[in-house]
Amino acid sequence: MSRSEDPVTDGGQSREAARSAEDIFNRVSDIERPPRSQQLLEGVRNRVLAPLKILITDPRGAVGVAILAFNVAMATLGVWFFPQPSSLAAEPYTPPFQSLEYPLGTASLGQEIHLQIIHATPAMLKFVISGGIVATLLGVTIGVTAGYKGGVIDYVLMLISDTWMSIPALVLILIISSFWSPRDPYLVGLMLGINFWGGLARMTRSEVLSVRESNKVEAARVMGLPTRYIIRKYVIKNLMPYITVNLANNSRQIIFAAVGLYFLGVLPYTSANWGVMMDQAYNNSNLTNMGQVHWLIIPMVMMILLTLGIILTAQAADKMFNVRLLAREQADEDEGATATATIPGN
Amino acid sequence: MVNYYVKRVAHAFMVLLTTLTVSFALFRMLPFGPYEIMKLQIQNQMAQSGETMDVQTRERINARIEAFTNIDPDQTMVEAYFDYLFNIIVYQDFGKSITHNEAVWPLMLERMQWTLFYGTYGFALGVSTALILGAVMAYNEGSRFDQVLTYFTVTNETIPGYIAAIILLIVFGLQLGWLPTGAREAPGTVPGLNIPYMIGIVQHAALISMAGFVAGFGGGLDYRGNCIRELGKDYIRVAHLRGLSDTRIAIRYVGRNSLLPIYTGLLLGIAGLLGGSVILEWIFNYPAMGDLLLKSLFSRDYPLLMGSLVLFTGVTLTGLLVADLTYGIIDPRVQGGAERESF
Amino acid sequence: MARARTERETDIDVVFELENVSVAFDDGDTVVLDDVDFSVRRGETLGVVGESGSGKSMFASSLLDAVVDPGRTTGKVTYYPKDDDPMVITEMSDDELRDVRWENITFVVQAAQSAFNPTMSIKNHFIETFNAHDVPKREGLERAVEVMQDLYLNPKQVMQSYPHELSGGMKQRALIALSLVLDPEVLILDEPTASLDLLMQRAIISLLEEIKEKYELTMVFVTHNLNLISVIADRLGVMYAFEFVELGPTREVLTNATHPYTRALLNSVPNLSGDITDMAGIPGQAPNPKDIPSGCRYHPRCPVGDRTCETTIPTFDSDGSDHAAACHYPERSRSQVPLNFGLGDQ
Repeated sequence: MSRSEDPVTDGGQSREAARSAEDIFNRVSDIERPPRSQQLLEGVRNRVLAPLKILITDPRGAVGVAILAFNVAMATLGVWFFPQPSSLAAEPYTPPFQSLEYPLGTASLGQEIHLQIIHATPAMLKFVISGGIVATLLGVTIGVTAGYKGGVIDYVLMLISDTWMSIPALVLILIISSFWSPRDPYLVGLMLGINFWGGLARMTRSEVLSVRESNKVEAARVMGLPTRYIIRKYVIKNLMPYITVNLANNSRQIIFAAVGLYFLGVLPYTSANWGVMMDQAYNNSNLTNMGQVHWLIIPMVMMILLTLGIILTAQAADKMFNVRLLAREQADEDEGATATATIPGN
Repeated sequence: MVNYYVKRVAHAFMVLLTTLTVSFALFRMLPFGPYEIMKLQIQNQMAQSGETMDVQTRERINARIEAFTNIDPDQTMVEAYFDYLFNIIVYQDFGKSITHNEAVWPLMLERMQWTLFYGTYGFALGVSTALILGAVMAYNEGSRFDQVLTYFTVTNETIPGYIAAIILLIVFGLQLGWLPTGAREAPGTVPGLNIPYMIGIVQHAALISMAGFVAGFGGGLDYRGNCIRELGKDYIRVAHLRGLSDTRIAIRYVGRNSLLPIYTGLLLGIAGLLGGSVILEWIFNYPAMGDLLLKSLFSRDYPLLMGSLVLFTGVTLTGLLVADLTYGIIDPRVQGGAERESF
Repeated sequence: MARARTERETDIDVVFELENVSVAFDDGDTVVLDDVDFSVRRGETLGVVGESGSGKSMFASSLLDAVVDPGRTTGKVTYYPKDDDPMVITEMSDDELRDVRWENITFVVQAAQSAFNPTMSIKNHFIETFNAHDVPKREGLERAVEVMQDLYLNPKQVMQSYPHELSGGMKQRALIALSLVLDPEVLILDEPTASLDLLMQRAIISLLEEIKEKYELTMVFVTHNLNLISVIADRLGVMYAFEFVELGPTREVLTNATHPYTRALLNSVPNLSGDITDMAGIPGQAPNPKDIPSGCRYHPRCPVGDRTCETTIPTFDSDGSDHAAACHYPERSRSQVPLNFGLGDQ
């Protein structure tokens, strides 16, 4: 296009030139945007399948995910499929691993222990879900607020979280439960969850403080990106490994505390859970008689197993936040996708 | 430097003050909070014994509540708040226990000794074992020993202290019958510096200490990681080149420097210990501070309950403060310390 | 190999003798020092230069059998103390090595900035060194003060300090002081000035020259900095691909280098007097220790070589003088690779 050579005469040409210039500046992309359904599919592939693949290729992750899946299955399908345990279903204190009918033996009134376990699982998972989420949300929110606002707000928030951290968690729960004994498992989880946000809040705050000083955030702020975006993009992303570990650790604490509280008999028996089972076993069985101990041992084993599942998954999840590993898996997934896509074409 | 110490102490004091405020608020302000409930309790008692409510009785009730809680119902909230703080800070006066009919503070102190006795005993043992194993694992990184112990430690993290306690109770207390499963001292012994009594308290604390031992074990894996990092440092190589002995390097270089990142966490372990005491003492039927707290909870003995809350927090705070104030001594790099905040 | 023996036989006083010394990692798969025969003369300052990863640090470490794990040293390193029987370093037990290290031979490592334990004062570093070598504390500290003064350090102030309180140059000098405090015979320095600024580098070098005279040291000085080494070294060894390619008196090597690699290396050194356009890097890449070229190791990058170089390993020949190089075509090299290195005139 030679506009300068020929500035006046040929209007058509110059219009064309103008259009081409306009075209250059306005062109968005030559690549066709894939249809929405495919975008969605891609999102699922990159955000769900690729991380999941990393998770289960790690042996710890595989075991952890398997344990968690088993527990979720018990809490959903199991509850629906298996009947409630009934008294006098069999001889009291039938030992475990003797018959298929009572694989885990029976309790003091002849209740089937495996059914007790299954029907106590939903409450356990509810504790963990609500407690873990509450603790994590509180910790991150308070940490981000303190770190970003600074000044008096920062001081007050940190004072509160320091106070919270200085009170031994179980003691605080005991005191709270003396005023408020929640019945719904979600509320119990909530009550337990509010004890474990202190450490996460401190950590998030210091991460915010350090990220705030970094060059890329400086640049993002100069570019006028909203704070919300910066926090999500830099702070939370950097904190993800820490949050996962914290979430696992909080869940562990919540399981321990919940079972402990029911075992102590501090909380009212409103839902079947492993702590209630342990308390009943502890109070009704003769612990010097080895033939009765299994009622107490089995829920303990289940609880250890669930905790182990959470911890192993969290340890393996650490790898999911390894950007390079994730990119490789995403690429692999893409390859797989194109491969399957070309097959019908042939 | 001095400024740093002043700041830390002031901060700890602020946290304590906040705890006291929270405790006061729970105590006084909650609708149907302990104060109201106590009032009802006493009124019920009176009603049962056939007394009628008149002005005189009301005054008597108020006098009784005041005696138990140091709360004068006629005071305004603000006055009451300052009175409460003043009594606690200046006179360590937490009021009087309802069930024990004794002043809360000396009662708690008496029980606390026992908790600290078995607690430090088990915790110290657990921590030192964890540290030694962690260091040995680091020195043999990747070996069979390291792998097995890593699995063991991870598994250990999934076992709460009370499960360990139940298993210990069943195995050593009930099945084998080697150790006593309840009380603090052997029956028939006279407290004091005599051999049978001392043996008795050690035996009675043995199981509960062992449970604390298991709880104190978790730091081992962190310590292993620190040691491995430390072993890769340049100054370790230089120390070898300087002809220092392996023992000296292991203790003064690797061992000590790896302690720094977990130092605060170790002292914080005391908080976990106190929290755990409630459930451990219940399992072993060991009448100490945790037991006192649990019983006060069941009997809604609020002065005692609130006193326990403040005491537990106070002990944890002291631990953290000690960690902060002594950290500068073990790590000279943070002498200025302004940026260091462990809590 | 033959040359090293003759040096002993011709009454040249040798401190170190290396015979067939190799260092390998990965169970011998990765050879990072390959079959080196060498001798270090008493009282000399030997400079060892080469690119990064040419094996010069390994050479320095092998003198004390101090290669970092999991590297393994093979061959024979003999140390001839001034008034004692020869010691075979490579056959000594850990305990025996501990005695020789620092008392007879000291090693100033590359990472001087992190050579001190951060939680110990400088004084305690001295004291623990005295304790390890049974030196009375008083006597040792007196000597330490003297050495520090020679290095222009304020003994009182430095002794009390913790490592993080000292500047880079001070730390470097404190480490040199620490290495001289037991009156060793040999001082091995591995890139002692790498992390210092130019002025400090010069200062340290001239200090080392003074110190060397006063304490009658033999110094082995490993560096990639030709400018620095040319000031201080009596002899210069040039390493390429894990072996020596040239060795001779410093001035000889600088002005009349034989090996094309040495000549290229000299030309790649920036200097103030020369023309910047004459400065040239060496084309190609240094070989990977797992994939070493056949014949002369320099042949893929060599402008002079021919078929012979690809198949035949050149011998390390001298022209009768002290100057030797491993090249098939020394004359061609001198004529085809002109030196434009200004440093020889300094």
